[in-house]
Amino acid sequence: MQEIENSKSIETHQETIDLSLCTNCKSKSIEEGFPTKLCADCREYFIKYPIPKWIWLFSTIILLIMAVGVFRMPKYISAAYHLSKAEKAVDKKAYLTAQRELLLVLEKFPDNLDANANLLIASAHNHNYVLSNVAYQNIAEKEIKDNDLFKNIQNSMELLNADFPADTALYRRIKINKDSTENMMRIYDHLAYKNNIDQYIAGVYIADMLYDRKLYDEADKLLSKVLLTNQNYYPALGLLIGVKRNLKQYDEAIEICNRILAENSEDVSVIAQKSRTELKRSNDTKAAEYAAEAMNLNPDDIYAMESQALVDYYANRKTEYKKLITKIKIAEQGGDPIISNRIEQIILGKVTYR
Amino acid sequence: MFIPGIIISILTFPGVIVHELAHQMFCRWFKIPVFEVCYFRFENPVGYVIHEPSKKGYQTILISIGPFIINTVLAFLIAFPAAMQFKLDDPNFLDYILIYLGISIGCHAFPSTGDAQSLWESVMKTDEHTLFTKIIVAPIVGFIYIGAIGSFFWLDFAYGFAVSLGLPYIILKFCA
Repeated sequence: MQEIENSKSIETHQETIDLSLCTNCKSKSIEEGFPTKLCADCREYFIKYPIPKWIWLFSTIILLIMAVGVFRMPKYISAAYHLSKAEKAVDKKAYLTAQRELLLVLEKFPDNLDANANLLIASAHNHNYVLSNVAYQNIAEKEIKDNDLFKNIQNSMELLNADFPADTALYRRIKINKDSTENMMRIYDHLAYKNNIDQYIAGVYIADMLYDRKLYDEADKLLSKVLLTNQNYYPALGLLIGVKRNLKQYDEAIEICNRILAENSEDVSVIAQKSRTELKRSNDTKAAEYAAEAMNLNPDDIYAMESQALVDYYANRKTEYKKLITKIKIAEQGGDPIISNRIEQIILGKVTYR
Repeated sequence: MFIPGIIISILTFPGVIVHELAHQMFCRWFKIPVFEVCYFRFENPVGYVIHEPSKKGYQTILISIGPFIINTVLAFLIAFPAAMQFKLDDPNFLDYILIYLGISIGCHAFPSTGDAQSLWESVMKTDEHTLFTKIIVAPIVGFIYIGAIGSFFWLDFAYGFAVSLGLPYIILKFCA
C-alpha cells in the first residue's frame, strides 16, 4: 500500500502528438502551471477520481455499524466516565467520592466486576458495612486478574474484618465489667496473649468506656497499647483523637487526624474531629474551615453537622445551629441521640467545651 | 511468530482500503489529480494511489501521512463504543466486529515505506520545496521507516490495539 506520484507515465507519448493538448482527452488545451499536462475538465475529473460503488458500500456498512455503536454509547460513556472517576478517586484515597461514583456505575451495570471490586475497597475505607457486603457478594465467585486490585481488595477485607470480633460474646463480657477498670483490663490482658483482632477490638471498646467515664489518661494508655500491636488500627486512632483533645494535646490530636486522612482523605468524621479540636483550642477560623469541608463532602453526615453546629454556636449563629440540631435529631431517630445530647449539653452550659 | 505481511494485510483488509481512501481523499481536498487507485489486491503492495505531485510541501506531507491521521481517528471512533462495552459489560457480536474494524484500521495507520520513498523523492530530491519543508520531512521519513521496521515486531498491531482499546480508557481517565 503506497502512494505513487506520477506525472511521467502520462507524459511519455505526448511529444509526438501536440504539446499544447491535454494528455488525457488530446483535444483541449492544457492548464498551465501544473506538472501534468491536463485540460481543466480532465484535471477536474482526475481531482474527483471516482470512488467505486463497492467502496461506497463498504463505507456505508462501516458507518452503519458505527452508528449502532454510537447510538448505544451515551449509556456506556456515562458509566465508563463515572468508573474512571471512581478509579482515580481510589488512587487518590478519596473514598467517599469513589463510593458515590461507583454507585452511579452500578445503577446501570450492577454486575460489573471492576465497579463492585472498587466499591468493596471504597466502602471498607468508609466503614460502610452494608455496601461492602453487597459488593463482596457480587465479586465473591469471580476471578480478579488485576494483581494490584486483588491486593487492594485483600487489604480492604482485612480492614473490615478488624471491625468485627471473632468472639461474639466479647462485648457482653466487657459490658458486665464496665464499672471495674481492673476487670476490664484483665479481659484485655488475657486477650493480649492471643494477639488477635479481638484484642484490638476489646482494647478500643474498653477505652471507649473509660473515655465516657472521663478517664482520659487510662484511655490514652490503653489505646497506645493497642496501637503498639496494630499502629494503623482505625477505631483506636479515631478514639485517640477525642482522648488527646480532652487531654488538651491538640497538636497530637491533629496529627492523628492527618494520619487517618492520609489513608482516606475524605473521612468526614475525622475532618469533623479536626474542626472540633481546633474549636476547643479556640482556633475558630480553622474550625470553621474544617467544618465547611466536612459539610461540603457530606452535608448529611451527623459528625459534619455536629462540628458545623458547634462552629455556628460559637459564632452566635443561633438560627443555623438550631436548624442543624433539628436535622441531627431527625437523623438520630431510631437510635441513641448521642450527638444531639452532646451539643445540647454544651449549648445549655451543662458541659464546658472550652 | 512469523506471519507473512500479505496474510496480515488480507486479514485486516478494511484497514488497507481506508488507508488508500485516505490518500485519495487528501489528494481530492488539495485538488491534486489522482490517476489510479488500487484499494486492495492480493500482492505487494496490497494497495496504492498514483497521483500528480503537489508543489506545496505541506500538501505532500499531508497526502503521505493522511492515512496515519484518518486511520487513527476512524479506528478510535469505531472502537470507542465497543471498548466501553468491554470495560463495563459482556461484549456482544457487534462489539467484536467494531473492535476488529478498529484494530484493522488502526494497524494500517502507519504510512508504508512506499509512502516514505515517495515523500523523500518529491521533497528532498527536488528544489521545489523550501529548506523548512525539508527539515520537517526528514524526521517524518525517519519515523515512517522506524514504523516499518517496528511492524516486523508487530508495532503496527500494537498501535491498532492501543488506539482501539487503550486510547478510549486513557481519554476517559484524563477527562474524569
